[in-house]
Amino acid sequence: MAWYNEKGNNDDIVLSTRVRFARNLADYPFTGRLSASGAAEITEKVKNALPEYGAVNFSSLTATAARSYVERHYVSPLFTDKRLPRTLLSGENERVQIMLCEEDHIRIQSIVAGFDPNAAFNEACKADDAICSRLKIAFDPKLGYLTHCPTNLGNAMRVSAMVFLPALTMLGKTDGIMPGLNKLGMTIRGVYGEGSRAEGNIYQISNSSSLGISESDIIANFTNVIERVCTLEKEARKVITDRELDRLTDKVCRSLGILRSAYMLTSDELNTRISDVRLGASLGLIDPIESSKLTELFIASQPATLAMSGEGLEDDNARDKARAKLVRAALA
Amino acid sequence: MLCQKCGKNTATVHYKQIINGAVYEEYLCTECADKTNKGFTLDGGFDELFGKLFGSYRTSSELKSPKACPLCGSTIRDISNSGKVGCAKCYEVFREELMPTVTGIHGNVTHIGRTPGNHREMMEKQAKINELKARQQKAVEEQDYELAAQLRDEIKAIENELDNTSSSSSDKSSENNE
Repeated sequence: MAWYNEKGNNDDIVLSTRVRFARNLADYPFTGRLSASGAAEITEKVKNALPEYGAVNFSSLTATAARSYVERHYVSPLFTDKRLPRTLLSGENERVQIMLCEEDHIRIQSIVAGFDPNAAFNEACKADDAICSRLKIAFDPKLGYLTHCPTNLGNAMRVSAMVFLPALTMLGKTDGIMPGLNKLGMTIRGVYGEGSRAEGNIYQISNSSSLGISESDIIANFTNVIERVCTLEKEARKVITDRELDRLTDKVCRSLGILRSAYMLTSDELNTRISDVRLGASLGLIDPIESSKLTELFIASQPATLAMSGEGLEDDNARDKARAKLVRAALA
Repeated sequence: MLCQKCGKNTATVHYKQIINGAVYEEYLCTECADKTNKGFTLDGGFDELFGKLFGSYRTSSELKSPKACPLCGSTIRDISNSGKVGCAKCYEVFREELMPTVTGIHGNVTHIGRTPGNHREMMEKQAKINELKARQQKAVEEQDYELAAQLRDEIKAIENELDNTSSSSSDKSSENNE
């Protein structure tokens, strides 16, 4: 089962946790100087090292199909450009995804529902062990895993969480936590990573240091930071409910009403309304709706993923109608 | 948050400098970042910004160095312009030039944590090759060609083993070929 269909720990705030390792083969140029034939050779080698993984060749996908993988957080936006032949390897239950020839030759990532960095780390390690024991990996005892961009040197691990921070956003406090996170070696970004917007009040928090610190220390530090952010968000939720409960309840109920009965829904409106409903449900302002169900709906109604279901393909209007139909059915 | 320089525009640039462990940070808007001599514009995005950070550590004479990486052909100028290193070999070839930048980003630290499973074995084999090569050189100097030829064969055998480790898992069986 995919991460967005599962229930997770603390998923009223932390929607998912991901661990990513960057690896490169020692004897090939990094992707900036890699030929298409070099990319094909690397792809074959990694596929042979992981015979049980399924492979999706991105060169043969339509733009919509490729975009749908971005929306599900399986690949980065960079992965969908066609500069190099790119292949995604996918493990059992979609637990581990391996991007071949993204910025680095090999990007192993494991994504789980809710907050569980250790589960994601353990899954990623299994794939890493299989690859690193069979292929000659670029590694230096002082610099660690050698990467295309020197910012990723060291353990080349990024652990990140998608966090839902509506109350901190309403109070204008998300900018205020940025410097504090930076001091702790963490960064905060929009939902689809670098340079993206915080759609639906969802942010991505990740570690920024990777050299001279072990994976377990990064995870311990990250866990402390995420717990702290969760506490801040809970405090902010208390402030807004103390301050304007009626107005907030009204907003949540209106949003739920719109989701349950709208005939057309744009992607932006859906993101806003789902955010309201997710907050309302977690505060008990409306009947319980599981956070995982809303995440599933959020992903299923993103433009490309919706189009992949075969609905609303004609034009924007058709898509907005199809999205509204999907949401009405899910929340009936 | 607002720019710490002008206090008017939204801060979009996080400038962080670590010198000998002392951290200096600033949150700036694009205009102030351009004006203050932080040495970058954001027009080319992160790569260009990062490339210029590389450049700031290099003197022009170093950038003129014609040395090129034997594996990927990168020069230090290519790395400096793109902000990206060409291949694993570049980290060896341009180590001296790259280290100030690496230290600038990460601090003067050494990797801790996971290592590739076969790394230790490969390092041992590489060390053995280096030792045999030194002995081979000595044998040639002493005109002991029989020994030199024997050492050459030993080196070749270990190099073949290393090549096999780097190829696919399916042909691991040819390791024991003595």
